[in-house]
Amino acid sequence: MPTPTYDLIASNVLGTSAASITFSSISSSYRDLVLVARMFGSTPDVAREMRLRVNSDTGSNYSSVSMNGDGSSATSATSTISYGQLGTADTTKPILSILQFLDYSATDKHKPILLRANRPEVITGYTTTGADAKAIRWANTAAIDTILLYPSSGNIEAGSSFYLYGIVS
Amino acid sequence: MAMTLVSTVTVGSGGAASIEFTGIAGTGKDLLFLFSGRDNSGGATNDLLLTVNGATTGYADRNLAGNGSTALSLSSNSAGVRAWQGGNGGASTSNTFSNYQAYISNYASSVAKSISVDSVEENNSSTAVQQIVAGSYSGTSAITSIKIQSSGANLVQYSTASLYIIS
Amino acid sequence: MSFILLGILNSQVTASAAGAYDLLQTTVLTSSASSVTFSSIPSDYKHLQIRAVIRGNDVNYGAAYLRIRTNGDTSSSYAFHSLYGDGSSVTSNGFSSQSYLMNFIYPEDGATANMFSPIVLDVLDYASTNKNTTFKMFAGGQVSGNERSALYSGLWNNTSAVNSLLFYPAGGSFKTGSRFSLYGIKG
Repeated sequence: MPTPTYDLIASNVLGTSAASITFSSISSSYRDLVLVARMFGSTPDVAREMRLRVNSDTGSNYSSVSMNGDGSSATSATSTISYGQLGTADTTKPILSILQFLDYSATDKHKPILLRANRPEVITGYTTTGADAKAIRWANTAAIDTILLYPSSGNIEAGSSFYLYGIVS
Repeated sequence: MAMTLVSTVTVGSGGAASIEFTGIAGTGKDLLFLFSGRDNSGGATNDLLLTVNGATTGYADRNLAGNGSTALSLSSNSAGVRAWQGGNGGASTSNTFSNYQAYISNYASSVAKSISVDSVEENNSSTAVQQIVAGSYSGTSAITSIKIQSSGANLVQYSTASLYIIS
Repeated sequence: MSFILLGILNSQVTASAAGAYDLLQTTVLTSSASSVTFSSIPSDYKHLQIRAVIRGNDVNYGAAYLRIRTNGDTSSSYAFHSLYGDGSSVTSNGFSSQSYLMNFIYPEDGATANMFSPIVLDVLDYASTNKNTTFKMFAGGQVSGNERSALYSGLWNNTSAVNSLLFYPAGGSFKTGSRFSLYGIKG
């Protein structure tokens, strides 16, 4: 028997700036989460990196591998740091980040996250994000119950939008 | 349930220059646009252009693409968000149609729009095109229409597009 | 005199009340398995999506290859192409007239503990009998020496409607905890 799914869990459209956005007490009743975040930074013509943490983990437990096209070059990178990197934005050039958290509440796995990040506009003097696909692993078997999005500095500005969806299986 | 079908359109025997959805209600949060298409161009591939609100200016895009042998990245300010060589042309493997997705978040907002496109075009050869595209549209009105077309060619019969509102 | 349709409009469109995204089948392995099959896929959806997290069962290896077949077809009816970053460069390659799809690298049980690789596979217009089937798959993982952020495309060179999908490793088995879920999208 088919089971209808793809449920809106939470949404937030900023009317004023915020230092960060947190989704907390996330139900474990879904299998996957999809987070769609469109974020503006707080300084004109300065690229602020938008970052991800889960369950308040500030340890170097976020590994990633990416492929990126900035409009002229195809590049790839890896990292293992204390946050997930979602791309950069300024006050008028937002980053659209679509994150897929698969098996987010499973306690027998590290947590795999697929990210598509998009910002075609150039922020002068900074590397352009362009089109980015990234595989992130949170190296912890705890169920994810909190997702934090925050900028490298400044605030996330008004007009930024965040939608969290759940998918059962 | 957050994902609801707006409509699906399939091209008939006469072909069509484009597929367009108009009168999109502003009641949702995001739009998901899925397209399985082929055109009657003479080559194996062709650019696909996505436009909104009937606008032919105000777009920007950057991509990462592979053609089966080379990875490359291009940018454009075309008359739409471009998926470079993203569509199956008439010279590609017969009966083969592209697999294309566009995602627009906060489509009914009064700010400029971000458009994420993922597109693959297949061929029974070593050559085929996969790409991710970061697109934008500078218009600040809510999106009420969305259209896809091949560059300089018509879509052939059985090309189909489905539009979903995610709310 | 001939006429060319200039475009197809779908006007005054509003969303239907019912949801468009249905879970059809899911398999969570409680013991190792040599393959996972979705069979008897109904033809009354427009598109399919498969979401999975995968790990192999062999402690003697660090990585394995995921392969996919359609409708039990083992003939050389497939082509697949990949675009992937490995942490140092981006690669594009392609293969035609193959007997399977994708060849995506995921962790075996000799890799870092608890590491599973995710895939999201989209199949548009799968039930059409006027089209070959084109697959699009995002996948990734951090298997040491085989790091991947990847976009795959695949072709099943057959116009039959898709009614089954087989996921199997090039060698070995899938590990307990691996999960495969099939969703239908209405259209």
